[in-house]
Amino acid sequence: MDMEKIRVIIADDHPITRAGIKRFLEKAADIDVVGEADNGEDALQLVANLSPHVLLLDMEMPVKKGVDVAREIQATGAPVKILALSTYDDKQYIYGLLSTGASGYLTKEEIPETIIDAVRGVAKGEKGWVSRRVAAAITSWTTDNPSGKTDLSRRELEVLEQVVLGKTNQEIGYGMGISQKTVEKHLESIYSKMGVASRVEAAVLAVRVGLVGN
Amino acid sequence: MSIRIVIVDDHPAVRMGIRRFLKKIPDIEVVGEAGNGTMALELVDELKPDMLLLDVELPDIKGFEVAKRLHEKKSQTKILAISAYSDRQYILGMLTNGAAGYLVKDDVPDSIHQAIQSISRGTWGWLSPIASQMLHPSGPPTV
Repeated sequence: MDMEKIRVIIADDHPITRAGIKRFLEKAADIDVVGEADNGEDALQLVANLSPHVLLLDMEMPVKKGVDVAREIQATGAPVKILALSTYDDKQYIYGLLSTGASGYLTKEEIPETIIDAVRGVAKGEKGWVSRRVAAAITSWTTDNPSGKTDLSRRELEVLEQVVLGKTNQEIGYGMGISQKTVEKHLESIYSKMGVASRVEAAVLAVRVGLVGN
Repeated sequence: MSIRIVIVDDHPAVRMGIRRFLKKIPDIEVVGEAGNGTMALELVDELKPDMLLLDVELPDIKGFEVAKRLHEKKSQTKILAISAYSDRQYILGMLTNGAAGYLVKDDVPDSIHQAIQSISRGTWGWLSPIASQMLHPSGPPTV
């Protein structure tokens, strides 16, 4: 029986970049590029109309930026997996994108094989596909703020571990025998100590710097 | 005889995209690709291409410097800068360091063939529409 192909939309404002990415993806028999967008608004339209499995999303686009596209998709609850493919490795782009629940963040230096592997991975539901340069950047930001690594209490580390496992506050509270309110309090403290703004950022950082197991 | 070209860009997807556009043009042959400035200089030495399609923002040696070094060596390889940036300083920086033309990436699909042909015939100062607009907002059209 034929496996269903991974349906991909490429959103990038540069035609040559889209052409190149498309050519890369054409090497994979299990991937089908079903649409291309040159701005954020069109990307949203295509996601709504074509229901792709994966959206390859540039960050700097006209009309609507990549982060805003990802946020709107998250708000609609569309099942499309978002994989950023960006020139930039700035903190605001990376954190901004990953905190929307996006599955990964690749930089454009990546070779075709890596992009193909990442598309396959995120289509299967894998998270945290980041380029080596992005991972190094995340690590250095945390190293610059070492309190994130050293100041977490044992209890906070336990909560963080559950966050990495994708548990909700209610599930964490139930598992640890503490109230949801207490979980929230622990999370506030964790975010503050790690210098992050959301559970996804905390989870990504925690895995990247080895605070908890993957 | 075909125009022999080396593409220099740190993004493999961009190199592939440019290749894709050039493939449609019969008198052009891509003979090499480089992902950084050092490799670009080595390839020019080794392959002596007719033209270098040169990105400006490279990870090691910037495009300005690559162009300058080739110019100082009196290299016969002509340089067409290709960049996502249309800032005046980028355009002038490349042209003053020896590039014969400046093509903004958004203009590639429509203009790349004309750019390569013009520069290979000896035009200097070729600008794609967006670059031209930046240098001459109300002035003369592209060369």
